[in-house]
Parts: sequence; C-alpha cells; structure tokens
Amino acid sequence: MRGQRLIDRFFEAAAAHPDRWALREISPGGVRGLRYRELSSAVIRLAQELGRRHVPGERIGIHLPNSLEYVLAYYAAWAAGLIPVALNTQATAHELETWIGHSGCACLFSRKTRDQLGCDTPISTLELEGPGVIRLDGIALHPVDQLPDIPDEPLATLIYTSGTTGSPKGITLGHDNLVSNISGVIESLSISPDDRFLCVLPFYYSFGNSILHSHLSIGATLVLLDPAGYPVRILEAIEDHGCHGFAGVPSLYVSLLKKTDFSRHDLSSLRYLTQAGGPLAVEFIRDLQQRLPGVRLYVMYGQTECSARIACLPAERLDDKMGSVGRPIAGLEVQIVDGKGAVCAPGEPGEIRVRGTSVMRGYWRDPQRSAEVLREGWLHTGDQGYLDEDGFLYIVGRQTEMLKIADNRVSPYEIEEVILELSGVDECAVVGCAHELLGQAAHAAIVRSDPRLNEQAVKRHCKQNLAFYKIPKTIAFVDALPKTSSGKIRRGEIPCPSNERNTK
Amino acid sequence: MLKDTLRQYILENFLFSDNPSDLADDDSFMEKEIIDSTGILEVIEFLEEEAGITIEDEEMVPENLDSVNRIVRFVERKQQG
Repeated sequence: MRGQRLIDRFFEAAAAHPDRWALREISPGGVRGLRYRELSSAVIRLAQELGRRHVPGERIGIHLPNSLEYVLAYYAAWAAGLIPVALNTQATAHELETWIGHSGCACLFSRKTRDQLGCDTPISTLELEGPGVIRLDGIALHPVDQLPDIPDEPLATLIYTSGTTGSPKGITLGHDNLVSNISGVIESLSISPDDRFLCVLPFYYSFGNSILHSHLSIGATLVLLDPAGYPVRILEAIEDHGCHGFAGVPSLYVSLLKKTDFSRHDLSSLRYLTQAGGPLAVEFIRDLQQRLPGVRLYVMYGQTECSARIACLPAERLDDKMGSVGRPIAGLEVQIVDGKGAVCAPGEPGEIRVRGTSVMRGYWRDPQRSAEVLREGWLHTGDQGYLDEDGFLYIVGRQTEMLKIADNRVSPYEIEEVILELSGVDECAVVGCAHELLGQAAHAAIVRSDPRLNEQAVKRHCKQNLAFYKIPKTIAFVDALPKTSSGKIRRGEIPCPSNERNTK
Repeated sequence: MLKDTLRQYILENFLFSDNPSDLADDDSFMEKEIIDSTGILEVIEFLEEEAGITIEDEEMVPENLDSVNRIVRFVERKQQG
C-alpha cells in the first residue's frame, strides 16, 4: 500500500466499504451525510468536469468550512490531477488575495461571492442537493460511472500558514509526503475502518487535514461539527453519533473541561482522544484522565512543514513520560543539534531537526526561505527540545517569535504591519501575553506621533484588516520600544498589561 | 440596565465603536461576524460576572446568547427562576 496516493486509497476504501458513512455533517439545520459509494461517485463526477476546465498541476483554492462540499472539492481536485489549496475561512479579504495571488489559484470554491471576498479570482459554487444531485456553478453534473485515469501530478497541496502579509508562506507537500505521514499516523493511533471520529478542527490547517485523510483513506467515518464556541455541542455529538475518537488543541480541551459537565453525557462510545497544537498543561491532562477513565489520550507534536505529525506519545506511556510528545512516527527520524550542528547527548536541549519522507518539498516559490530550513538533508523545525535516554522527545520552547492565539499560529509581524499602516503610528511591537481563554492574546506596544490616536481607533483598524483572533486585546502607548544596540526590538522586554507574564 | 452595560461591552470590545447605532439589539453575533467562537466564551465570562449568574453547559446555545435581546431575555429568565 505504501507509495500509492491517498486518492487511490480513498477509491479502494470506497470500493471495500460502499455502504458505510464516509461523512456525517452536523449543522443547525440537521445532519447531512454521504456514504462511501455516494462520495466516490460525486468525486468522479466533479473530477471529470474539473478535468475539462483545468490542466493538471493547476492550483484550485478551497475556501469552504468543514463540510461535504469541502471534501468533495478537495478529493475531486486530486482525482483531476489538480493541487487543492485550502484557505483559512476566517481570513480577511487582504489575506485571501495575498494567498490566491501567491499560489496562482485558477479558481476558488467558496460560498461567498467575488464582491463579498473582494478578490478577482473566478469563484465556483458547489451545491449538493442530496447525494445524487451536484451543481457546479448552478449546472447539474451528469453521473459518470468510470473511475478517472488520474493524471500523474506529484504535488498534493499547498498549505498557507501565518507569515507576514508581505511574504506568504506556502508549504508545498507532495503526494508521497502525505501518504507517508498519514500511514504513520494511522499506525500510531491504530485507526481502523470501523472508527467513527468527531472532527471539529478546520481542515485548512495541517492537523485537521491529517484527520480528514487518515480516516477517508481507510474507509472510516468522519463526523463534522462546527461547535461555534459552544463546547457542549462536542459532547452532544459524541453521544448522539457514538463517536470513538476526538481530536483537540489545548484551548479546546480547556474550554471542554471548564465549560461542560461530562457526567451529563453518555460518552461510553469514546475510546481515544488526541491532542496536539502546543502543550496542554499537566493539570488538564490529569483532569481529562480522571473525567474519562479508560479513554486513551495520545499527545502529539507536529509541524505543517512535516506534512502534519512528527511524534506521538502512546497512551500507555502517558503516565511515565508525562510532558513528552513521544517518539517519532513511522518513517521519520528526529535529532537534536546544538548551535554548531553537533548532535546533542540525551537530556541536552537543542534545535529539533527531522528527516524522512513526510518532510515538505519546500515553501512555494521561495527557494531562499526553503534553503533556510531544509539544510544538510534535514528539516530544521525552529523548535527547541531534547530526547531522553529512551528516545522520547520533550519540547522546551520555540525559536520563532510566533504567537499562538486560540491555537492559531500568528506572526507578530503581520499584526505590526497592519498597525503601522495607521497614520499617527511611529513604531509598533506585538507580543503574546497570557490569556485565560485563548492561551495567548496579542498585545501591542505603540509609539505614536499623533496623541489623538486612541486604542479604539487602532482596534477598529485591526478589525478591518485582520482575522478576529489577531486583533490585540490590549494596547499600550509608550515613549520608546526596548531595542538592541543594532536597533532590533527586544520583544522579551515588552511588559504585558496588569503585570501578566509575557509568555514570549 | 443589563442591556445598556451589555451593549456598551459589545460595542467597546468587539466592534471597537462608541456609536450605539453600530449594534442593533437583534443583530446575530455570528451572522454579522460581530463575535467569533472564542469571543462567545468571553461574553459568557462577562455575563457571569456582571449578572452574578452561572451559565450551565446546556444553556450555552445560540438561542440564549446570539444577540443582545436573546441574552437579556435569557438572563431575566434565569434571575426570575
């Protein structure tokens, strides 16, 4: 099986489990679903039409929430030899335009119009009226029986992570990268075709992307839900759909633990949980273990540059290796190196570097930035950590200055650039400050030339130009920013408001 | 009274505005993209503090929380009950 593309595996799984649910989508209007035979027939139908409109290797933007349509568009793009580019649905028009321009998307699947999005790319609308009727741009597609001959396009997808608005970072993954990583994940978590998994994480990030493919490539069922800020819905969905697995990032688990009452729900179907996207404090891990006895908890670590996952801590080692993110998943090798590139001894911290088939091709159309992280045959993660005597990885910090707000990685430069556009702002530095609900929140220190400039005006400008979670929660107007002798801003010395600890 | 404080809070913290006409009492926070999913949790904390109530998990639904009017009705019901 290794070496095949995920789309080939999907068609195989669909042939093996035609009547099983591939997707169940929970929405305020009810539950919609597609069985494997329905989804695969829809994928073939749409792929044929996309094949008529595009040439293999073209990029197709997908700006859709987690939904049946998202999966249909994504897999049909693959089946037509195209490169799907999933775009953050929370992004502003400006961000979208940057990514679309950079990736050169030929068209964009979206529920919004060109006017609403403020971009020039042709928009395609996709409507599913029951499993049998698919409309593309309002026109119903005819059923096609034959499996398409899938063009041999080596690249699988581009994933845009936060970078500065001026220089977008498109992580370029090949089909071989994804197959290798997804196989490793399936093995680490023992995912089986009988599994029903609740996914609330957005597919446009690598964690959600990994969940999508690790289930659809083997014939398991994915239940899709957007809890929209109401964590109790997650417990209801697990109960109503008898889900076996669930994945979350730290802020999601914290809101579940703080804002829901597990004892009011029958969660007996639940067999395992996975957690990634930054450290979940040990007190919360213990709390989860206590409230869900017998449910296996897998802690994972990853990076989009490495397709998704790098390491996984087996549930049975959680207690004796508490704080670790586990061992490298199959197909990957992890090393810790010091500043000179020498390999560190066990227990000695240094930079984490990774090699193996999951490692990306590079950053899209950015050879210079690619060469900075892909050196001597290794991916340099920029994260700091150490390996213990048994080869278990521990993360001690991140080299980069990225913030992590409600588990979205956010570049401080991006926020600074937006604030600096305002007249009356001379200098600006953004740092992450601890926030009870979000993990971190942005705090901006601003040197203003116009004393009339106030906090409200800055935030309003940010709201127009940034996704909501990126808007600084707090703003301090200061006389000067702390700097090094060479003029570089010392972010570590910028205080957080009300004596909260600066977590950066 | 809660309505005024709440409106003030939403205007200040989510719309960054002091113009009362920017927020209608029946505006859906989600549909009008006034508050995102992380913001709702902040609103809940605000309500618990301001109105001295505890919001149970099964009460955390848009029917109770997705507009100024819905919140005010919800809090009144809770305070009476």
